Amino acid sequence: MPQFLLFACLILEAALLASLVLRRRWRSSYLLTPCITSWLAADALVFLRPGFNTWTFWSFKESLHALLALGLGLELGWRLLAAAPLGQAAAKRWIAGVTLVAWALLSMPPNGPTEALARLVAALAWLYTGLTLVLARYSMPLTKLHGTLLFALPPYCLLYWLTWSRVGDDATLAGVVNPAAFVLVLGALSWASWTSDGEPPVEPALAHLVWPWTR
Amino acid sequence: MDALIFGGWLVLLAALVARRERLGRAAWQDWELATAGVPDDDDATGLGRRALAAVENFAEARHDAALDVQVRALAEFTGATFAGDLRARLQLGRRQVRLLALAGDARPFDGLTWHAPWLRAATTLDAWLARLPGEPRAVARLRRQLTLLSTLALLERVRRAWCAERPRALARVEADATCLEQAAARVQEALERGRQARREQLHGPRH
Repeated sequence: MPQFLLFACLILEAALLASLVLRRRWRSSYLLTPCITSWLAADALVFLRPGFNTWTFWSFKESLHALLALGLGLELGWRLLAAAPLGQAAAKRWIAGVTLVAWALLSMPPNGPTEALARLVAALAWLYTGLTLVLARYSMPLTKLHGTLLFALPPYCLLYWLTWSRVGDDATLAGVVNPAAFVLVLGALSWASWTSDGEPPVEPALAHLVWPWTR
Repeated sequence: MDALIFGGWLVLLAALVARRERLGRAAWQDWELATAGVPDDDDATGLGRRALAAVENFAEARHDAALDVQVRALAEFTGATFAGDLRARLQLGRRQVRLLALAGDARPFDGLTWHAPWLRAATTLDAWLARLPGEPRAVARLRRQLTLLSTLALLERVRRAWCAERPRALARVEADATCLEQAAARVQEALERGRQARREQLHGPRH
């Protein structure tokens, strides 16, 4: 990854983390803060000590990030559908379905060393988009941060899958396009996190029911 | 397989794009509609009271002490009984039941305040009827009268509203309010006439 893209990642991750803490956005998703912190820590290590960027370290951090993203998706499904238990039940069914598909994908023999991880990340794209569909089905209004997470992460996950299931085929994809897309995702998340959602156009009691973290 | 992963996701995305408005302002409107209140909350709680009064009248008409005790117990029904009953009958989630129970007391949202007393009365009355001892014909008559209140229909409708079409259809439950209230008044009148007829039978006509 070019140094300027890595630097941009660092700046945006720090800005995002600062907004989560200073604007108390961490309350809207407990796992987002650890997720961003792990991105920031890994990128800072690679930026300050390029020798850290070994194959082992890369595999570890990418697996950790994928697991955190999986947890984040589950948490979003649980928290955003808190006011709709039947929506939560639908989300659980969807998650079970995606888990089955992911298991089937992962059980197939991989073409390369990074293919298994790439398939897991592709399943994440399905998970996030399916959850967003359930949210739409149950009329759950989204905050800017949640909306950006749910809409920006799936395309990035698919790009990631495309990149790392074909590793070695296209160095530009892995070295420039993928990191640049990640910078865009981070930029969108930072913007969403720093801008205000405004007051929901309903009574505060109803707003607190639908967005329990605003209590 | 690559085409399947990408194509499947595109299908999901297309479905999502078609429903994207349900994640923004329109979603808030849905919730507002689902929990839209009625102007006068007393009308709603009034039916619960009238339904209870109808049973009390029935007990009085039968001069049945045991029934009186049951009616008192019924009148003192608690939120816990209500929650258990309602949850079992309507297959609601714990949170929904808590909200409905809360709505009867704390009035967190006008809309829920509106139907909570109805549900409470209807569910408890129905449960009580199921355990009611006594003359089968009298019980059957009371059940018919209470059916006039459309309690079960209301329960079913609310269940459907929550389970299948929530939140939009919940607003349609509101339309039942007037019918049920009128039916309750008719039951009340019928029971009043019955009680009057019984008094006349026992003590002679009033002059």
